[in-house]
Amino acid sequence: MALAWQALMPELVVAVTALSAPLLGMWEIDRVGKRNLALMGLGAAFLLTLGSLFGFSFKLPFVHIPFSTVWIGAVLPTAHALYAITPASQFLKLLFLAVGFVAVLGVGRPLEGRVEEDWGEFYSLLLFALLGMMVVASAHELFTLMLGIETASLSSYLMAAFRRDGPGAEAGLKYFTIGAISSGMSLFAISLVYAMVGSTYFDDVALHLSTGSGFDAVTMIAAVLFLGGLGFKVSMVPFHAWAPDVYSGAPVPVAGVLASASKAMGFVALFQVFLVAFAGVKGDWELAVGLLAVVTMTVGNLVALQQSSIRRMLAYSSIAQAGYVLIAVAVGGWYAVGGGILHLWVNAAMKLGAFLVVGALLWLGVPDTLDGWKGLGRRAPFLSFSMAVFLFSMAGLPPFGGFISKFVLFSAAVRAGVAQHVVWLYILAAAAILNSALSLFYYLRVVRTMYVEKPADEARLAAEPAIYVAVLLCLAFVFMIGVSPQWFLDESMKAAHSLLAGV
Amino acid sequence: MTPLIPMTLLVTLLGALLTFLVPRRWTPLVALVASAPALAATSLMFFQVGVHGAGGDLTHGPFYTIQSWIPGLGSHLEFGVDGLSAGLAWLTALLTPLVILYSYYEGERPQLFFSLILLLDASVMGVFTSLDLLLFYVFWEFALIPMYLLIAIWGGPDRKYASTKFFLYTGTASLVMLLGFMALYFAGGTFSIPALAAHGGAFAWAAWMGPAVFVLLALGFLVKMPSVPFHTWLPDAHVQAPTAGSVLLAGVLLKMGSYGLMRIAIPLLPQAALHFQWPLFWIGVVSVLYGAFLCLAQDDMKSLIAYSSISHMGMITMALATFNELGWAGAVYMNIAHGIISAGMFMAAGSLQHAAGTRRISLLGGLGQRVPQLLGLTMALFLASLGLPGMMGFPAEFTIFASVWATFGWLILIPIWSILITAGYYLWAIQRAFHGPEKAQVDWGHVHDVPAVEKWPMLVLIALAVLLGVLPALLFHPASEWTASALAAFHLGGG
Repeated sequence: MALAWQALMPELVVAVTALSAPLLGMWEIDRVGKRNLALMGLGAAFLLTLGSLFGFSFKLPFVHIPFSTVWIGAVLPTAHALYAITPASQFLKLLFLAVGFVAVLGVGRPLEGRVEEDWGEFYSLLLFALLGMMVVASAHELFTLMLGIETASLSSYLMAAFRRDGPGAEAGLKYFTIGAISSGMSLFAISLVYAMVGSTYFDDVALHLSTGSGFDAVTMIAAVLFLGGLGFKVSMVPFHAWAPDVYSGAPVPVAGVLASASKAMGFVALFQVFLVAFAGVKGDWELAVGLLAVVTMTVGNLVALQQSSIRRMLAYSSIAQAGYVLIAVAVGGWYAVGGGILHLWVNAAMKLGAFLVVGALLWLGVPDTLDGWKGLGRRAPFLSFSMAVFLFSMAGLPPFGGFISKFVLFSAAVRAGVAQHVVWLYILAAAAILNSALSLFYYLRVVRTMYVEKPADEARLAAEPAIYVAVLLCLAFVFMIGVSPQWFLDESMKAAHSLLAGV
Repeated sequence: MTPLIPMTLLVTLLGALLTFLVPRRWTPLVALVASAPALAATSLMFFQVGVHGAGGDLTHGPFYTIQSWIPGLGSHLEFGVDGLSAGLAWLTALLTPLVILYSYYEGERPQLFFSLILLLDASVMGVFTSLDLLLFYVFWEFALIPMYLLIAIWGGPDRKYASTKFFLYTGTASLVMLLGFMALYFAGGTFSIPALAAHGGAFAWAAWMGPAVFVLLALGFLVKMPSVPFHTWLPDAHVQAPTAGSVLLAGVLLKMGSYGLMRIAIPLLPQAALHFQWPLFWIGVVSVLYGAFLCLAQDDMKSLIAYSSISHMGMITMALATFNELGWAGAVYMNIAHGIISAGMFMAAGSLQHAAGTRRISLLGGLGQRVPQLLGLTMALFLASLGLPGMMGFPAEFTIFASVWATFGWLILIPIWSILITAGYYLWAIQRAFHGPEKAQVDWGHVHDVPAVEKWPMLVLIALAVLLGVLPALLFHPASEWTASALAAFHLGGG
């Protein structure tokens, strides 16, 4: 296949924008200008990815970018898929770009302590992180996967530490240290795989491990190491301890990006490794992942019950949501993975929206505690309504998007149980259901605080218009998936088929 | 195939939005007007189904409509009514304007208050008319949010505890029920209730799955009804809820539970249901007696009515366990009867609070002279509830107990005492609160009789109770058509 550079347009656009953002300081462009550049870059990349997914072409002055479904399937640079453009990869890139777009829109000004000049760096870091995530989505080879993860992670460590104060530095350092260890684990796993297979391409690994002796000791060690290395990224128990501190210490929009896009990237990597590369491995690793899923969701929900800080509560809730998506890894198959992908999208909208609301309110002087949020329903009607919708959606209440995506996920376990007559899958589904019930309380508590309690101060709050637009985008998405999810569900299922087949 | 049902739901939802947006002084009026289309539509459907005999036929009824919703999940926007649900949908649409009228002068955040009532109206009507399990669940679960907010914002002193308990308890039960729905979906290949019922319980799963799924579904429905031992959320929720909330909670939300048993659990899993006949019977009997006995001990009038609700809903469980035509028809009838009567009783309790300043029976006495209209209304409603011939309660209880005798014979002697106990607690409550010497704890200076906005809804309900008590065939006719078709799946008849 020829080097299809047109297929790489989205990544190129993001890279160019990332490189040029810091340079804007030379022309004394202010924060809004830099933000607009980032938005334009992300928007262009989003449109290009959309184009490559649906095969329409772009005509620009002097440049004609024809896409066609021929580019789907383009592989670079050899016949072995090192980097593949597939429906799955493009669909997932859309998620990352959309998260980036909304996050940039909703950042506002809660990057306390930083000066105007630093904004270029911030957008640059964010864009590089997104670039890394896009690489992960398209990777078909273990080192490429790690390349993407590392690019995204290193940028994330710096973004997490962007606040020049105690919590920020702590967040960054914790994230970095634990991230470095987990990267080491993943790389060691890759080396073991290479030792067994002689190649790191997913095709070769899948082929060899399925014809080999099955679940022997080395494969098991590699699987466990991958689980640890990638599990950290998605805050799976017992690699979750960094999440609450990092989500609290990082600037709030960064926490939002971590909770949405970074987690999605981790899951994409998990899907790639366990459901594509390790697809042929026989053995009870599904049961182990299922067990980890149950533990993760339970720990996340139980500890969230005790939080009085909204951000920490959202962090633990994020851990619990990771547990739910792990069901997709445990169950496997296109239905479960499709549900997982849909839940990654909805979770991105809900979590990003929630964090943007928290960030906007923090900047307006409302402290990040339940006490501070009393009576917000009257002080900031749109933001509280959006927050209530996001929280009910996270709880899985209809008619919001969280219900549909959780339904598909949990029913995937039931479906597999009915089809294979395996009891532990029913227990997995039951555990997920009970965890959802458990989570109702702490989500309800915030809604209650906002709407039922009386505020200490009746003054109305108004944030920047851009934040309202960003939150509205997330809100609209959550409603759309809740009320009319057909198109998105179908696309997620198609992406799942494509991801599992590797084409 | 007219899309009347989805249009009605949509109009009511838009009405809720409109109510939220108009200025304060117009809100109650707009809300009242917005609730009218639903009442008109459901009355039309009730009339069609009842008079023109479409009571047994779901998919060929005049209001059946189906449209694709989520093809990827095989879920459709499938709506329809029959003898079982037409009355319930009508009841929901009837109680909403009555409740809006009763609470006309609500001063605290009226825009939110009335729009929540309309949201609840739409959601519960959606439950009663949807024929697709996923759609059913969406409406079922969504009803929790407006009810929660109604209790939490406008309720009594302990409202935070009561509303949270209500939300978590019933929310958890609904999630358990969802698990059952998922199993049915994957075994039956569809979410459509008529299509799943056509399987007759024969799904390709292990033998223990049928009873297990029935238990999951029953848990969700029994908690909603509520049935002992899952009843503890109800007294708190009722006592703390504002009158509007209590009326809708008792009038229609509780019926969602019994409707679920009758529409989903029993028809879709007939063998499993028969398997659990005796446990259902005993659960019903315990609810009937336990609720009745606890009423005797209640001091708060609303709490008394709440426990009597538990008792009457227990009668429905008992009737369903008989698996004979009389019992099931009686259960359908009792659904409506209890809905109308308990709605009225809660309004009376609310009026008592407004009139005398308290609902505590021990603090009241000799009220009757000062509030003769309220006394009359309360007496009429209590007599209806205890089953006085001439009002709805009597045909309801009579058919239920007759069917219990037919199926369970002398075991009827256990629950039948509840009739006596019911008469006892109601008459005793009236005697203590309204008759007897005037108590000093009442603020006699402020005692006033019921205002018009509170009186007329109660009168409407009493009139309906009399009408349907004197002409029970109006309800029994469509109900029997439903029972005939539902029992056909069991190859049983008569009784």
